[in-house]
Amino acid sequence: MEIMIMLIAVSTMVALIFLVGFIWSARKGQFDDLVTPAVRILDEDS
Amino acid sequence: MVEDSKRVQVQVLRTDDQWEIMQNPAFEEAFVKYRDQARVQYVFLIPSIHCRACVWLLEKLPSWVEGVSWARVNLDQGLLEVEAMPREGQFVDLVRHLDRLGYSPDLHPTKNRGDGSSLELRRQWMMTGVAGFCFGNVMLFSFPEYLGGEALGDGFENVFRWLCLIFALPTFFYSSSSIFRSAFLSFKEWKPSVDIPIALGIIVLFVWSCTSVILGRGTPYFDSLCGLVFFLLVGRSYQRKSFTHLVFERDNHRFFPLSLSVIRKGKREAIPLSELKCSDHYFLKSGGLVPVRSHLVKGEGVFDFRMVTGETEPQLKHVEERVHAGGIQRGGEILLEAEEDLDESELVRMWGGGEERPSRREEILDRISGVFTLVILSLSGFTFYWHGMDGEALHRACAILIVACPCALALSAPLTLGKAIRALADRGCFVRYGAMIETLAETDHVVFDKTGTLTHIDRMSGEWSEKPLGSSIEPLLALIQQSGHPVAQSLKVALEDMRSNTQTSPEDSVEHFMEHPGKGMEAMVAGKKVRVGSRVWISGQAGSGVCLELDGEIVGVYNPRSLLRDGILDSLESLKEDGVGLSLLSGDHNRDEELLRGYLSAEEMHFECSPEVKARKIREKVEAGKRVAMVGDGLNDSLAMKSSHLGIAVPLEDGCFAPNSDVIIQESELRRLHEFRKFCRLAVRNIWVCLTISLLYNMLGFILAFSGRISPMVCAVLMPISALTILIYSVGWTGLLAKRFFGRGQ
Repeated sequence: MEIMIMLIAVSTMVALIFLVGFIWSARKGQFDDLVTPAVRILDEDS
Repeated sequence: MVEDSKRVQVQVLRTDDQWEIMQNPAFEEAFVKYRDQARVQYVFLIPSIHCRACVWLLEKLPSWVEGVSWARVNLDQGLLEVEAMPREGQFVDLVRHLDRLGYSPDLHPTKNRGDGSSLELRRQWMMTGVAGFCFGNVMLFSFPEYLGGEALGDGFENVFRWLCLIFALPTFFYSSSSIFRSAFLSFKEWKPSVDIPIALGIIVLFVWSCTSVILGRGTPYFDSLCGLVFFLLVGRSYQRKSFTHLVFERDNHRFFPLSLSVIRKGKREAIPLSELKCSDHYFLKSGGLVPVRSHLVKGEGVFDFRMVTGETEPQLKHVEERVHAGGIQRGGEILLEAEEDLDESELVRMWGGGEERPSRREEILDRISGVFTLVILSLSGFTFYWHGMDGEALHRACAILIVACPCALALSAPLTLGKAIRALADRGCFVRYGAMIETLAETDHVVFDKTGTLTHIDRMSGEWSEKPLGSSIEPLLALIQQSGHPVAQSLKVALEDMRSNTQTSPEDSVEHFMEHPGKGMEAMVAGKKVRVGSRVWISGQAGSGVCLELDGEIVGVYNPRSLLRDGILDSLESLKEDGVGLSLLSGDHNRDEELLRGYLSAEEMHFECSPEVKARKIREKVEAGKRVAMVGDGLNDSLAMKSSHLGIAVPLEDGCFAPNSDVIIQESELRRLHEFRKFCRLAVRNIWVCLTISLLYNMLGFILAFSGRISPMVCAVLMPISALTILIYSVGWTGLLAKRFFGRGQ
């Protein structure tokens, strides 16, 4: 059962990486406009 | 599929003064988001942005305008961000190009340029994200607790409990901070707020669970804590997603001119409106709005005061005569002298400032939450007492506090009202805040303005008191077609109806066409002199009616009438059937009284009311205990709307201006007013149903807690289920209700 400790530690680390990534993208303003990027993907590359 | 956002097309015509103002660097700064040596970023509010094609077109701006590096559109807010080289004239060039493309930027100063609110939004995103992260992890780590705890051996049980505690810390200290702040502020002012029982619940859960883990006995409820906070934040995000904000973004300033031509030191120059001072001499062209009380210095003034008094007949003013603020010049260019500073202008007083409106944010739930808190606290105290006031009793008392789920309290109103606002917006009725749905539902008296509200402002009907002979129709039509005046339009239709159908448009030549505002128009058609205008102007006699004159002889007399909006009388009838009182307050003359008799009693129709009189009459009704809604179309109704409980604006064609209004209804949808009101009543009833459902959950929880059968598993199941039920019911049922009630809608 000791393996659980290591599993928890590793998974927590991975989860924290994602959390940090989320916070970084929120602070960068990637969540400010959710509508327009969805529309832009259908345009041709200029 | 991206839905088209609700926008109103704004026609912007720029004057020379405006182009001159734009070259002023101080003016430009208001639109600069960022500036350094190498680049400058502008932010423009462009009301015409409404769809994907707009995004595509505007983001191609770099290929059309020199010096532009990139352009980015925010479709939701109607903003365009442009980065360009910081060269002189760049700003003016951009505006010129945008105008030419048909996407005129709104250059009026506003407080809302997007920057302040985006910081707040980001913070809320992060709080919700962190809460979700913690919720997921805590639920996972709570599994051993659900499964009894012994399955993993002694030491491990503790490990998981501590993990739950650690992961709950961000939720408690970070994600709940906005709830705590709001609850504390309400508590300080002793005002009931829905955040108080929620904050209480969160604190109790946290403290109880922490002591459980630290002391090693009892059961922690971190999963319920994190779940509660997460669901609440998600519910609030949904509520925050505003579907109508741009419609209400317009404020008074949009109606003022951007700049004025004044005479300073003997020279003519353009200044921003804010710099207008008493005694300044300023020019006003056709279509210009008089910003402050002034008197005429030079020129012939023909003023349309319908914005201020509702009167549609233009007034003629001579030199030295006083002109009140709010009039629109319909003649040529004139020179006026300002009699007051801009801040003291009558308009500013009437549209902005003045008495504070009674608070609009009060929601039903705030009132209930006070009761809720007290009931829970007393039940908890009672449980403690009942079970002998020992450790076990304390456990059960706390269980009551824990299981009392304020989820429904916090979620049902915002979700239902949010959905209701959206449903109404899809059908042309825009409500500013959720609380106003409640106000509309409770309305039992509606006051109407007449001109522009019940009647069309750009179309008229009419009848002949003297019909012209067939031979004179052609030259008359030739003249009338030159004008865009509503009376001319209606005359045109009336004349066209009279002639034989094989004829096409008149081919007679029209020369020397002249339109005299307030009087009439004239021209030479195929060598004959044709005149159409007021009786006074044509014949010199007093009297009403529009005379048509050909070669000096009156060949016809026409009486124009206001045209009531389609279906509005049926709507009035339905409102009366629903028990709603009706009255009419108009600034216009009483010439259309007969149209409305039968729907409105004579006592309830008042004409030639000034804005102050309207406001007073509404206050009388309010004091008599009625919940009054005022329906109006213009600035002359703004004072009256402030006195009512609910201001409903029907926007003028010139643009969506809604002073002090809480609801905007598109003119084509005004006839559905009775439907909108009924829908609001049903939506409010929905909230009560949600509360009842939540009450049942709470009672169940109370019974379990009282009898000691509560466990983390039970809590963890009960809470999400009740939250989910509320969510499905409030959003789903309201949506279904809207579909069934309104039919296919738009």
